[in-house]
Amino acid sequence: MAKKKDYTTGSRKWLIVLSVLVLVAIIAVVIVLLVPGNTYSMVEVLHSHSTTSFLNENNRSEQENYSALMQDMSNEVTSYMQEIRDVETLSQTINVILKFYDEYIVFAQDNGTLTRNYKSIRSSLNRASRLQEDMNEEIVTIISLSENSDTYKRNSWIDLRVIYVDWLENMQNAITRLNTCYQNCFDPSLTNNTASTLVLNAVDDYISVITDDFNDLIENDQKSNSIESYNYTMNGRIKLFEAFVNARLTSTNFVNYIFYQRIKNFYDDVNQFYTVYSQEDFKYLLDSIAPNGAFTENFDDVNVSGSLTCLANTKTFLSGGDI
Amino acid sequence: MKNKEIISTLVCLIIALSSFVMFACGGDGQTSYQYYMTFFNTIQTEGAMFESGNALGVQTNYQLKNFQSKTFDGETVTPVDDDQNYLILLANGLNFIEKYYPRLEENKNTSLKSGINDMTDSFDQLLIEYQNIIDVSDKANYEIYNGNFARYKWQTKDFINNVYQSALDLANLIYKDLDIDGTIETLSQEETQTEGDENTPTKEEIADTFDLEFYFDYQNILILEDYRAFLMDSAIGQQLDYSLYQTVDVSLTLFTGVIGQNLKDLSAQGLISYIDLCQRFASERAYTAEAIGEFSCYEFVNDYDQNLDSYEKSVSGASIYKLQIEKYFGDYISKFVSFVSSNVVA
Repeated sequence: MAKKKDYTTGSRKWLIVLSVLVLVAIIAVVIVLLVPGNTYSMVEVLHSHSTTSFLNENNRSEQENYSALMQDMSNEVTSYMQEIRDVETLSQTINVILKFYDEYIVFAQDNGTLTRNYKSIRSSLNRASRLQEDMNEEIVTIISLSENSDTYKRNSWIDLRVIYVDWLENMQNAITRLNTCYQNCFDPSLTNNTASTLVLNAVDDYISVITDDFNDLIENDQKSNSIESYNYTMNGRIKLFEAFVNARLTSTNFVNYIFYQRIKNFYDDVNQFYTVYSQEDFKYLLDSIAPNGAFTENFDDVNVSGSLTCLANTKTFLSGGDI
Repeated sequence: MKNKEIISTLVCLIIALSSFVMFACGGDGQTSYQYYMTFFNTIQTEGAMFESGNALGVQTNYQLKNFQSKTFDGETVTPVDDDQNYLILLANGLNFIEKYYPRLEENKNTSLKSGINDMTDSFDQLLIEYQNIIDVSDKANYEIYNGNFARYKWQTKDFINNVYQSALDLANLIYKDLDIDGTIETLSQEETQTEGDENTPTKEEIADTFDLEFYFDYQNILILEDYRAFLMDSAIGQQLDYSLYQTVDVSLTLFTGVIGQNLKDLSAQGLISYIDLCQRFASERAYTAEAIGEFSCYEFVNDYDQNLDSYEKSVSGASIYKLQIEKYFGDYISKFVSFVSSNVVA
């Protein structure tokens, strides 16, 4: 009697081989979809946002709309003019910060820090982009309507401010995480040193303080409230922030820390400020900037040797003054 | 019986293959040192193309002769010095190897042979092109001469590339042999000697025995390699009428000013500062090397008419790479030279 062929064993083998192949394919797809980016992806994301961010010099039509808005508002709601001008300054300062990171991130090591922060940075920047579109639409609507009621203008700005602060918070998250990447994805170099760490941390603190201020403003200046309750005090902080970023956030400044003893001493004093005081006090110092740009906090009750020089240099540091 | 025959055949086959592999890989039993020695004997005896001098700010026995093209104004043919950066790079590369290969005399290392062979082959080709230049120099018209000169120049570029590859191989080998990283780690620790412990050297004692001359030359050849990469790879050995190229050109002359200078006796602190700077510089070098690898200065100038937006479409991040190259060869090198001139060079 002929032996019956055992087809089942062969089929099972093929089934196992097929299952393994399917499993490998699934794992590959999961890796591609879920494991977030590398340096290259980060570069792509950041570069596209840093060149098109709100009121970026490349966005001419957006800038023209904002200028038209300022003109429009200056005719009707003069009380808000300082804030509107400051939003422009603040947005352009944030563009400088994004551009700075954009110039470095391409050289970042593709390590765990980059991977951990990539998704959050991408989603914050993407959300900021969508909010930017919303703001632009809102601005176009405001300037296209021939509505001259100051209440209408005021209410429009109050709505716009809410979107702007949302944009600012997303930028804050992206910038804070970019700072983490900068400090952990680069070896110590001419441009990654004590000076760069102090500057980039101060950038985060500045944005944090300013964002908090804006949130307070949203709470206090609502459509239902009288305009008399509007109390805008951020002009000094934003002006100093702009001066700080322009003066300190440059590779030349960081490199000079390595080569010039005078600059090294200066930054070492600022660093010492953190030892004598704390980061909370540092933010407190930023919070104390008056509308005219003067620091009102002097920490008179702290009496530590050398702390006065440290404090004076820290104020110079934060105001972007000459070293 | 049948099995025995199969096994005997296999054993014979294995022995034959092993012998072949040993013969093929074993080479001629010469060390890297001997290969270098043969190379220098060759270029010194047959190298009529070199002369000694200091004309380029570099004291060398390897200044390339007849590195000139010719122009014709309708009446007179005039020889014109060609790209002097070729000569500067070549002289410095060969100087480095000539100075440091004798350190391998007691070393049985053979790992550098392949690179030395490439360098020797390239030299042989260069010698042929040099001879062609000499042969046509007086006889041929300037156009034919320039055609031959273009080949001579092209081969010089190839030789420079091979010289730098071999110089870097040699430099890295000696660096490892000296365990410089280990010494740097010891120097960077808080204290090297505890009380009552006289066997552990102090930082000052470590600094006194540190091979500063090699470390200095090592850093310099690494930086020269960056110049080579830009000039020979990114600019493909062509002189370009473009500001970035001119920045690098000027910077090379500035940088070579510190090479070959006598050195100070550095204190432990002075040495630590210099090493710290070099280590930080190494990071910037790595970024710059990446930038040079991505940014073709030649293509940017010739194919894209210096239009960054157009080039950016082809090379993503081109503006960032260009910026890094500018910063490195401009600001950073100039500050590095200034630091070295004040603190390291006597």
